[in-house]
Parts: sequence; C-alpha cells; structure tokens
Amino acid sequence: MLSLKISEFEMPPMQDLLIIGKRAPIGPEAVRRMAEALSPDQFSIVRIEHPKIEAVLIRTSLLQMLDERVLVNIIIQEAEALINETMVLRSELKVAVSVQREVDMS
Amino acid sequence: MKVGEVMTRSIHSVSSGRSVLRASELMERHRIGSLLVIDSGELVGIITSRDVRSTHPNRIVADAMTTDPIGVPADTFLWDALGVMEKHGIERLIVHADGAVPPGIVTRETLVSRLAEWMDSMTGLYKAPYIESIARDLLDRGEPFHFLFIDLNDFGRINKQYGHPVGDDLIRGFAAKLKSVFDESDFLCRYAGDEFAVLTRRADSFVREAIGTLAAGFSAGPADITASVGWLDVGREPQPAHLSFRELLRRASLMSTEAKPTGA
Repeated sequence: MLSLKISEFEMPPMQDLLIIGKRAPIGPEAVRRMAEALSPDQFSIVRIEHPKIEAVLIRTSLLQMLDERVLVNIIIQEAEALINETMVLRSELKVAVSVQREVDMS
Repeated sequence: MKVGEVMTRSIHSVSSGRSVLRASELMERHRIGSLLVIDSGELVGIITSRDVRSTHPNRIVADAMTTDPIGVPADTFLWDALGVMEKHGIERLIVHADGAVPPGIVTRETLVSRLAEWMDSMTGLYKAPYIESIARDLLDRGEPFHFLFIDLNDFGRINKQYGHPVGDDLIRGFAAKLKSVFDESDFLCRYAGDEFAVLTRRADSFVREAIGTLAAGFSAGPADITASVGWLDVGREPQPAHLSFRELLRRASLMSTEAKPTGA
C-alpha cells in the first residue's frame, strides 16, 4: 500500500516570525541566509539578550509598522514561557488598525 | 623575538556555511584546536574546539564562530602578543603577515612556552635576549631611549661572607626594587649574575631619579649592598642609527664599572 499526501508548500514557510533558542539546531545566521534565499529583502534578524532566546527573525514590514523594541518585548513576553533554548518557534503576527472618524454629514 | 618567528603558517580553514559538525571533523582529523573561517578569500572569523563543544552540530559555522578575530602584525613581540591575549581573555591570535590569506596563527601555549625560555626563574625578570631584542628593534627604527646597565657592588664578597642564600635574597630583592621603580612601559631584565639592564623611553628627570634610587643601598638580612649604574641616552648620540647593541652594552657596562666605588 502506498500513501501519498500532497499539500502546497507555503511561501515563505516561516510566516511572520521565527524565535530562535540559544542552542537550537539552526542559528540566527543560518536562518537569515535561509530567509534571504526564500524571500529576499523581506526578513530581518534581531539579536537579543535573553537567557533562552538568541534572536528573532521578523518580517521587515512589521518593523516598519511597530517600533522594534516594543515588538521584540511583546514577542519575548509571549514566547518565553513556551520556548526552551533548543527550540525554534514559528509565529504569525498580524497588525489590525481600526479607524473611527467623526465626519461632517451636512 | 616576534610572533612571525613562532606562528603556525600551515593553517586549516573552513567556510562559514559549512556545518559545525564538519568543522569538528576537520579539527579532529588534523588534531588542531581551531579553524580559520574564510569566505571568498577573506578572513571572516575563527572557530575553536570550545565553540564546537558549545554549539549544536547542525548549526552552520557562521553561527558558532567568533567574528572579527583579534590579530596582531607578524612583527609584534611575543610578550606584547601575550598581553593582547590576556587583555581579551583568548587563547589564539591571528598573525597578519604580508597580507597573506590565510594568515598565521599563534596560541597562548606557544607564547608562554617560548617566553619561559627567556624568563629568569629566580627573579621573574626576563633574561638578556629580551632586552637585546627590544634594543635592536628600537635602534633599527631610530627611536631614542635610555639604556641602563646596573651592577651590584661587591656582590662576590657578600656571597663569600654570608653565603649564597643571602646573595640570592639580594638578587631577588634588587629585582623587586627594579619592578617598584619602573612600570609596564619600561623593559627590565636580569642580564647575568648580579647585573641588570633597563630600557626606558621616559624623561631624563625620571631616569636620573631612578638611578639615584637604584644606586642607594639596600639590605637583605645581614647584608647591605649598593649598585653602580651606567646610563646611555641613545637620543643624545651623534649618530644613533650607527649604534649597535653590542656597542651600547659595551659602553653602558663600562660606565657602570667606572661608577663603582674603589675596590667594589
């Protein structure tokens, strides 16, 4: 019997964020090179000082919408309970802006 | 002695995109503790066995290496190179020689072992070749300096009168006095027996004061001793470029003999 599952390869496979543990099997420079090969000029590596996390790969467009320090602090707060230093976590991050304006109807 | 004379030229390298596992295998195969990381003919880092041990083997070398490795020119003196290693807490230094890629490498172990051959175990000062090496270098470069040749007075009589242990105490005591008068910017050595040499680039006034301190008597146990100092200011020589180390030593040692009290 043969079993075959076919699905679409997501491009890029890393979605919006990769959180890289300090002893993960893939390090920040390798992740940067991978992202650059798959999606040139779309991701940035931010190295951080943290007991378990070595760096975060972030979609560059997110850094244009939010201050890097604010964004990284949020990521660390949410990820540090989940991650250990050998892991690489993938994450999706969407920014939604809701606008309400008062307009003159007359 | 300069690092270019003791560095290893047979260098093994790896590119930054290879795995840490591959780097580890290369180190093991060649029985070495580090590899230079070279990309497109350019030195980009160094990876050591310590880096390999602390990194996942699947990682690429770029994620385990030390970037911008610390290096020194090939004409750096061994003791200066060791100082650089101690300052940065590292075990290996890149040696840049004639722009060659890969350059050379020198380990702390090599430096310590070579320098130990030049160290006087009784005083902790370097031996004569040390001061000779520095003096020759400064003479070659035409840099002015002061050269002091110091001879302990009547040392043979004290050895006979009080015995060699007291004589040894005097030698050690005088070495300690030298170290207290001069600092890391000066070069000191036990030239031979009861003779010492100092090379300094400090002002005349400091040298004059230092000579006064060194020539004054000091004691070790029952024995008192004084020293005679010959002082040659290379900066005042009419043709310093033509002065050899042999001539420098001859004149300074003769001056120390002339400075001796009668009968000493």
